[in-house]
Amino acid sequence: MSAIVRRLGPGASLAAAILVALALAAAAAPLVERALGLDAEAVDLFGRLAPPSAAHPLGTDELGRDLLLRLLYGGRVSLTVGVVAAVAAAAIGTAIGLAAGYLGGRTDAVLMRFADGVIALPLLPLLIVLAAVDLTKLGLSPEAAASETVLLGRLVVLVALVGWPTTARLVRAAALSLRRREFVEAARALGFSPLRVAVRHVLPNAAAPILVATTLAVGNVVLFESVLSFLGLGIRPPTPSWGNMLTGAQELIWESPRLAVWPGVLIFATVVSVNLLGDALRDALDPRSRRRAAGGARGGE
Amino acid sequence: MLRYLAGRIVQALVVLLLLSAATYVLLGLMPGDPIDLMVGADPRITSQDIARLKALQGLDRPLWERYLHWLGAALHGDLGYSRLYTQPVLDIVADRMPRTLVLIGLALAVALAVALPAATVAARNPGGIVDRGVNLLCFAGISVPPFWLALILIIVFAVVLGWLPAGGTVGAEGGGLLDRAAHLVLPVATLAAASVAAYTRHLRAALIEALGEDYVRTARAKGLSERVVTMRHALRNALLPVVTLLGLDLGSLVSGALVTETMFAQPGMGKTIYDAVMGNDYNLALVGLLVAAAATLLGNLAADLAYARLDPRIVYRAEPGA
Repeated sequence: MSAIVRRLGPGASLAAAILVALALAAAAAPLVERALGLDAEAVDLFGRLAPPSAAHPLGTDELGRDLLLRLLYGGRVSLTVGVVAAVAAAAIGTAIGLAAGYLGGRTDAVLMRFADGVIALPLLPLLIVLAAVDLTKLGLSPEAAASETVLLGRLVVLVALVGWPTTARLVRAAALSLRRREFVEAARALGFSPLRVAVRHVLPNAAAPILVATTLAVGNVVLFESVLSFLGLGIRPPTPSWGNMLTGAQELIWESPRLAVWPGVLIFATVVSVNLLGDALRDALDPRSRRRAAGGARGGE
Repeated sequence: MLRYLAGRIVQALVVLLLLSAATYVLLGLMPGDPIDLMVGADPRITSQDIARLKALQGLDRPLWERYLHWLGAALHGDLGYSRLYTQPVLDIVADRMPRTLVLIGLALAVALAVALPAATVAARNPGGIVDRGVNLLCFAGISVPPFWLALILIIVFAVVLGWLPAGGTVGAEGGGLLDRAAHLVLPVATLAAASVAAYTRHLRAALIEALGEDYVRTARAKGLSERVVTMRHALRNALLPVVTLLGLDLGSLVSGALVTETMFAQPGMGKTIYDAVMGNDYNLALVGLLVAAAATLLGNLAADLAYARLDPRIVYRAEPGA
């Protein structure tokens, strides 16, 4: 434990602790619900916008629901989507980066041009169009299209579709240098197929950049999820997410600014922690980057 | 150089063409179609009327035929009619585009004005207290959800302090330039935040690297002051990667403009695209999206050309197959 803290530095260790705490709190939502003796979905129109009290530690929202419980349940959704979509994005990015870096030549040029194109395009307007697609027109039954699983799945797919280029670039860079190494040459000389060499010999050695890219991707994905949900195109109420809890908050900003603070603080804390952790992981795993100590989670460097 | 430029422009046009086709198909998948919306508005409509209306609007023909028809008309300058605003799409875009350009331009200027000194101060003593502070602020900048930053700014400056308006472009009295400027302060600050952080991080890293180069040692050795060494020698070289970053960042700025304009009720391109998608205004959504993409691609190209101009070592040649 102390060895990890030493390698990551105090800031990143604190970030990791915050993330663990947030995840545990979200996981414990049903327990908190029972301990408080409340129902997270219970609407109480007489107790709307109540200030913090013993019964409601953070007060209630515009429908009289307990804010703390909504935040915890929202955290489950936001964090799950964040991790699942980031892993999906990293998987796509790894496959593309590996193909580009290992095969090189024209494949590399085409794939990387494509990645650059995705990074350069205005993603949010595109995501909004994609998120507005009516799934019943794609042959889904109305019930299935409105189900929570399908909506969550769609959000994961959408965010993964735009989140992969960062990983692709990092993995490509690693694969480019790895494919010239002796052990890869040896594997090729033994007559293994390119796929086997790439997956069994190159991929495991690119684990460090993949880990860093996945971590940084979680931050980006949580941001994308929150803004899409905020705009009404991601997680739909009554299912809470940190993003869609802020939608109602904007209309009530004059009456109850308190509602706008908490969900945002949690998104912010999550993303800052993830970015700090990703940066520290990069430095810890790649001694060369310590000197440069830069690059951004934004813009996909 | 000219061949390179021509190649890049052709590339951008191909991207736009593909994007228009993809978006056209996607918009066809959005809920409802124009006729459904008319049916909803008029209870006396008959099924013959519906068939007639569909034929009139060309909705009985296959999707690809409709797309080619749209494309042909668009290339002749006919971008269609907006259902939401009952105005030609071109007029709406011409009205909204300048507002967004002003917003993005101001945000870019603010971002550079803050990032340059911040990065210079931070790079002077890497690892020092100032550097750490700047670094922490940068992390905050890239991590804050833009719409939440907007909410917090509204709460602090409009609700609590009452110094600035919470949204819109002009006050109730339809004030002058100062009033318009006041309405732009919060949107520009929101939009600039993420860019400030990104530029500062990159510039700081580039500066630290430049300050370790031989020519900086030479400049110091001949007795130049630290200020001259930093400003005249290191900074000029460190600015180069930032030019590329500016080009790449345009896409994020356009995305950011969508959020910012929606939050602050600014009638620009971003809010127009959002409203068009939410209101099933296909023509407007399609054109808005393409205009945003075209602007971004142009910005990228401009950044690459500026880079070549600033760095005499870079020579662009048309590469085969690219």
